[in-house]
Amino acid sequence: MSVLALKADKRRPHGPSRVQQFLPLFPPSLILLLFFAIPMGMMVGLSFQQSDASGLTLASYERFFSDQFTLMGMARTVVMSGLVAICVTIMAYPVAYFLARSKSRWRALVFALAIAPELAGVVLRTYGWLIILENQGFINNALIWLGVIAEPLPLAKNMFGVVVGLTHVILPFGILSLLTSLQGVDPNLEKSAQILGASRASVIRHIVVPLTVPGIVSSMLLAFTMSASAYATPAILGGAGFKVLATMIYEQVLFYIDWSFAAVMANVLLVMMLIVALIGTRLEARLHQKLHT
Amino acid sequence: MKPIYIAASLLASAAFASPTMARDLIVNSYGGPYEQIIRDAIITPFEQEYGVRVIYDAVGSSSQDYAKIKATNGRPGFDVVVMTASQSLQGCEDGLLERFSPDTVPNLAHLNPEISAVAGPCGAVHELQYLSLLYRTDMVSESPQSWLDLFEDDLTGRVILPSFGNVMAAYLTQLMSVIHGGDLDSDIDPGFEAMTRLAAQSVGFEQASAILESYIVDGRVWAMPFWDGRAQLLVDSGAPVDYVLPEEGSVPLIATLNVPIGAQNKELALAFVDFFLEKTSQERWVEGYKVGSARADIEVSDQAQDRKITSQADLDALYLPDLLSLASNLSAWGERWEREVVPAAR
Amino acid sequence: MINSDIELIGLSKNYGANKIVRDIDLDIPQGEFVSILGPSGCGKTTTLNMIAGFTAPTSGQIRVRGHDQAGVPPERRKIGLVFQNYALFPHMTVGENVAFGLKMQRKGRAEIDNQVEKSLRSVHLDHLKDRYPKELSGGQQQRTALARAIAPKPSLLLLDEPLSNLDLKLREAMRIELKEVQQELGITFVYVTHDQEEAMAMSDRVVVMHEGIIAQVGSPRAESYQSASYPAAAK
Repeated sequence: MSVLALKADKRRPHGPSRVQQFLPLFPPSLILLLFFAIPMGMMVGLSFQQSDASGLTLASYERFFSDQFTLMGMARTVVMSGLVAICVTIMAYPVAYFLARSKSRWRALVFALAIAPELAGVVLRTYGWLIILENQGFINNALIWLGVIAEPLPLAKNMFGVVVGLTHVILPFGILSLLTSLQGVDPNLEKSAQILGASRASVIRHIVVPLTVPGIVSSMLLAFTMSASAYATPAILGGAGFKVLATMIYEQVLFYIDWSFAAVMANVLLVMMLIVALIGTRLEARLHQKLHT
Repeated sequence: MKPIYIAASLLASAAFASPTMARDLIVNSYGGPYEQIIRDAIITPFEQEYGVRVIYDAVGSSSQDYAKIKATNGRPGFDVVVMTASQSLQGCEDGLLERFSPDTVPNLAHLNPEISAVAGPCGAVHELQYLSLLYRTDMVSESPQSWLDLFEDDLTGRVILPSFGNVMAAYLTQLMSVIHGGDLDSDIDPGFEAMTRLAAQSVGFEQASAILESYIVDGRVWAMPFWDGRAQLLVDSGAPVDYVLPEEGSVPLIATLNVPIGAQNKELALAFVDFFLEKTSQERWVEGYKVGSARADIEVSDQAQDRKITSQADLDALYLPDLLSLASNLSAWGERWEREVVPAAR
Repeated sequence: MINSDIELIGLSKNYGANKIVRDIDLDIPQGEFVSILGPSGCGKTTTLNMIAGFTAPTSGQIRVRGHDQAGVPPERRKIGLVFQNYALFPHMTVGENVAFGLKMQRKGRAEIDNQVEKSLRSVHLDHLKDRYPKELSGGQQQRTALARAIAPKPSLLLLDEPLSNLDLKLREAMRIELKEVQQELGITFVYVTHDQEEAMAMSDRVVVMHEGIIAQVGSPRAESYQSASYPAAAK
């Protein structure tokens, strides 16, 4: 009886064919192709053209890499994004730790407060920071009124203002990213460390932080790429002299109408982010391995 | 037939029988409070005379609109657009703007030929402004008469300048160049040198006219360069400001009406352009928007005659730019501005 | 003379209206292997957490060697703890895991190495000092957790069902080892389990808990559990 039951039924139909298996991928692939791959391809192609000459040329690329301004803009983009990545991660970590571990009744409120600003939108919040940071803004007025300073501090229309604004806008994403990583750390590990004599600070230093390093890397990566492609905040809080790739691209497309040059900048920005992403994900994978988790 | 089929076919016929497409004109023009002015002065009379509806699109500066026209190969979705002579020339060269002729836009013949030449055959000059010196009447001891007054010590830290993304910046540099011994296009060094000095005495740079305006309205600055049309509107709004055409002269802003080559409603678009250039329309426009006109035969109020460009004599006081030369210099000047002028303000 | 290592006096823990531990009293003499036996939800793990200091009692007192533990955080209680899932630090080697408590006590390098060596030897793991927890078997992990807990020389060791993740044969072998370690070190073991056989096999004293109260306390050798006054204990 059991022997019969185990015999393979040769009349059973085969599983779905190769084509059928891949069928569900067609709609998203088509969308990606039409709205991503093709326009990207067009943009790359555009960077090799010149409006007054026909055929492919590297003229716009030559211009980009020999021009002091575009190179400074690129450097500024990297520095700005790097600073934001660090600030976001440092500020997000304690908030994420609290949200991951706390059982207090304030947890839901803190969570809402962390995410809620996103509802207001980037531009609104950036202008809000302008009002707070500018020379006649809230902070400077208060400090002058208190007699702490005589001249206003330059808090806006520079790197400082932009980093503050971007950190604020990107912080919720950092918190969510770190939260995932922190929730993956077994609370018993912290308890074990504690009972072995570690103070809360030691627990965080020796146990929590090392085990969440992949999460830290991914938070920094996320903050970096969001920063590098940001337009509104650097434009509004950076002021006239603060040029990053995103604002330079805007200018080239809409003011100078030099689309070839703009395409070069966009490609450089893309490659920059791809490189950082590649380094980041490799690092994250290596760290996971090293942590033996 | 079942009720659902009746309802469906009624809806379908309603959708397809919509009469909007043929008799609507989409005009891309001034935004904000100025929308009302153009509506009263031009759009409503046009709608009444031609029995059509004008759909208003306020989005975009001149260069942004041109970028849109270029990106869509001449089919941006609007039929008529307000830009400047620079875009008119560029658009003609790129083949993206409709060429006007005495047949299609008869009123072109009444415009000052010198000004029309600056704009080229693809631009109909419907408005002229000049760069004026706007100042706070309550903060400045005596009304300034010269552009050099901006450099005075008592105005240090009380001046704001346009950023290079605002076309005013390039024009101002050209003007300063002429005043300081150079010229508009090739010998531009004196202009940059002057702007660098002026930047050091300013509070900084802003791009949008509305934001620039706010600085003088709330008293943070006491003097600034500004187009005369908006300057007059500020005066009329009750702000304690006034403006002058300084003794050295000025540069014009030659605003134009343009029709993209792929406009859907071209016939009506050309009619609109011609209508805007009518004597009566120009008179309403001058009085309403407080600007000047390229038509020499209009009859306007004394105030408009005094303060706006309405005659040949007025035009003679202006330095007419070579816009093609400006276009080719723009990128290099932009970098020079970033390199020399912007750092001076910090 | 203070003979008791641990005293629980009128100890209670409530979570809102939920009374997890209800007014228990218990004296545990020094050097004994004591099991707390009961089904899940009886409050045994909560009691353990309170002794360790992770949970504050709602009312009552905990004294360790005569000292009231109220307000003393876990890191200063000088107690060892072995978790059910071992909770070994995955990013540290076996040696580094075991050394952790000593490192927190700021002991010198040489002393740490020495003590780690000794602790690993007592659980027969000295040859695995440089391995990572991921590379160890369940039994090896369990012994590492034990070595880590005893290395800083606590006077008291708490164990929360440490053998429940192991298979039967291993469990039985580990029971013997645990008992040996306890007798060798001479420290008090408080062992939480739901397995009656285990409790009987290892303990000097068994404390039966049910629904937050102590139902019975007795020595497996002394009394007979066949005549258990509590039905759950007989299972």
